[in-house]
Amino acid sequence: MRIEARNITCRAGRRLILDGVDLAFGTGEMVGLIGPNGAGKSTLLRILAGLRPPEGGTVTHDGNRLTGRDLARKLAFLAQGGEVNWALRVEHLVALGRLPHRRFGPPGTDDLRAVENALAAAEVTELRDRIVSTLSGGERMRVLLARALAVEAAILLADEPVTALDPYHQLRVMELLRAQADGGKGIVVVLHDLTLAHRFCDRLVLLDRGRIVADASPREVLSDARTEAAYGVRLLRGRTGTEEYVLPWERVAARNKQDPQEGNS
Amino acid sequence: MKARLAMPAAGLNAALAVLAVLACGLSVALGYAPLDLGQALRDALAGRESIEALVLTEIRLPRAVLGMLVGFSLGLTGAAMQGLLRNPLAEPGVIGISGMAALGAVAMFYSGLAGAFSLALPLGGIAGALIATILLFALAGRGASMTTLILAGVAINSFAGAMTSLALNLSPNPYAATEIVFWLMGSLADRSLDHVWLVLPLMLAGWGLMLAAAPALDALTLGEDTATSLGFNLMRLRAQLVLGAALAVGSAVAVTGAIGFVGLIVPHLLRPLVGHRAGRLLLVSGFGGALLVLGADSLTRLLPVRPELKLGVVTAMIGAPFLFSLIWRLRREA
Repeated sequence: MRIEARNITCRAGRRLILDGVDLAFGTGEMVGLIGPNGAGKSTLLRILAGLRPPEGGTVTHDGNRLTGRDLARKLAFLAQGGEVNWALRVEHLVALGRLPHRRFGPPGTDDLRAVENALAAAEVTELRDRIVSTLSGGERMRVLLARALAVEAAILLADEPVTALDPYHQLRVMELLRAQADGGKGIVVVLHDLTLAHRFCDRLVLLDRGRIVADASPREVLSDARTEAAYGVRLLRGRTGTEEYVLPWERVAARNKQDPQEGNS
Repeated sequence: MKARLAMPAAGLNAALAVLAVLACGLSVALGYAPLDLGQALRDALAGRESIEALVLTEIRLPRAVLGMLVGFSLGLTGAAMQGLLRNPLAEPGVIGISGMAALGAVAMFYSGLAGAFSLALPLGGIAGALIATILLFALAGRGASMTTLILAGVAINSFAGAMTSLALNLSPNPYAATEIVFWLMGSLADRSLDHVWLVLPLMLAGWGLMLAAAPALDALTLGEDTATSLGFNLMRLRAQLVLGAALAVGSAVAVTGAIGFVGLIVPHLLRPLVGHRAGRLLLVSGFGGALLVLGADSLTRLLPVRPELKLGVVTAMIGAPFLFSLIWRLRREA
C-alpha cells in the first residue's frame, strides 16, 4: 500500500495552511511529521486520512482514490486528544476498530482475533475489563492505539500520540509504533519531540509554514541550519554507544517569522 | 471472551419488551368503567358491536397502543440524540421538533380547525414537525457543526414557544386558552385507533432510520474525526437522525402533546446496562420508554386524583427530581 499526496493546498479562510505539498509513503516505514506549531502538520495528516478534502491537489491510495469504508479498512487514524465520550469498557472500545469490517450483528471469529491481537500488540490485554475513564493518560493512549490497530489497516496515521504522556509512556508508545512499522505497517506520526523523532523514525518530513522544507533521514532533516530556521532552536548533539541523539537546547534569535501567504499573494 | 464481547443486549431487550407488553395489558385492563375483558375481546374479535367491544377498541386499546408507540419513540429518540450530541442531557426536544409539533397543534386549536375534524390536531402537529425539519436542514445542513445543530434547535424551540404564547395571548376566549394549555400538558386519553393508524407508519419509518444509525453512534463515541476514519459519513448520519427524530417525535407530540423527561431519563437509566454503548442503547431505550409511558399513564388512572392528572405532568413529576439527581451526580464526577 502506497499513499501519494500531490500538490496539496489547503486554506482556512484567507490563510494558506498548506501550499503545494507533495508527500508519498508506504508500508514498512515509520515517517515522522514534524514542524513548529501552526506549520500544518495536523491538517496534512487529516487530509492524508481523508478526513477533510484539500482545496487543491490529490491524494491517491495505490493509484486509486478510496473513500468511506474502503479507505477505512486500509487506513487507521489515531486522533489527537484521545476523545472518549461514554464510560466504555476497554475491550468494547477496542472492538470499535472492527466497524469498517462489520457494522451489524455479533463479532465474527476474525473480529475477535483482531481485537485479541490488538490488545496484545498495544500491551493492554490486562486492562480489558477496565472502564476507560479510570485509566491513566498513558494507559488510555495505549488502549486507543489498540483500537486503531484492531482495524488491521496497512497504514496508521497518528496525530501527536505522545504529546501529553510522561517519559515512560512516551517511550512505550514510540516503541509500540516502531514495532508496528518493523512488522510491516506504514506509520505516519506527528511529533513535537525532536529527540523521539530523531531516534524512532526512519524518515522525517519537516513542515514549515505550509511547505515541506525537508524530507529525508532524521539525521539530514535535523541539521543545525534547518532546525534553527524552522524552530528557532539549536540542538545539542550527543552519542550513546553507537547511537546519536539530539536534544533541543537553546533558542536562537533568527527564527523565520514570515507569513506564508505573503510569498504567494 | 467471545461471550463477553458479543454480550448481547438481546436478553435485556427481551426482558424490557415483555415488561412493556405486560404494561400494555395493564393499561388495557385499567379504566373507569368496569369491563369484562374476556367478553369484550370475544365480542370485538367476532365483530359484535357490544358496549364491551366498543370500550375495548375505541377507548382502552388506542390508549394502550399509543402509549407504547409514543413511549418507544421518545425513549429511542432520546438515546439517539444523546448519542449524536454525545451529551447525557440531550433529549428528543433538543433540536426543536417537539416544540414545533406542539405549535402546529396549537395552530389547529387557534384556527378552530381542531373542532372541525378529529385528525386536525395530529395533522397540524405533523405539519409543525415538518416545518421544523426543513428549518433544521436550512440552518444546520451541509457543512455545519453539531454546535450549529444545537443552536438551530434552541432558535426553533424559542420561536415555537413564542408563537404558542402568542396564540394563548390572542385566544378568542378563556375556554380556548384552557383547551390549549391542557392539550400541551400531554395525555393519552380519548384518542382513537385513527390516531394509531395515522402515526404508526411515520413512527416505524423514524425508528428504522434511527436504529440503522447504531454503528455510527458507536463510532461517534470516539469523536467526529475517528468516526469518519472508521468509514462513517457524519453529514448523512445527522440528516438520518434529524429525519428519524422528526418522524418519531413529531408524530408522538402530534397525537399526545408534550410528554417531557421520558427521552431524557430512560436512556440515562439504561445506559449502564448496555455497557455505555451508544448503539446498543437505542432499542433498549425504546422499550424502556414504552414501559415508562405506559406505567405513568396507568398511574394517572390509579391515583385517586380527579380530574385525572395529565400524563405530561406525571412524567415531569417523576423526571424533574431525577434530573436534579443526575446533575448532582455529573457534578460530583467532574
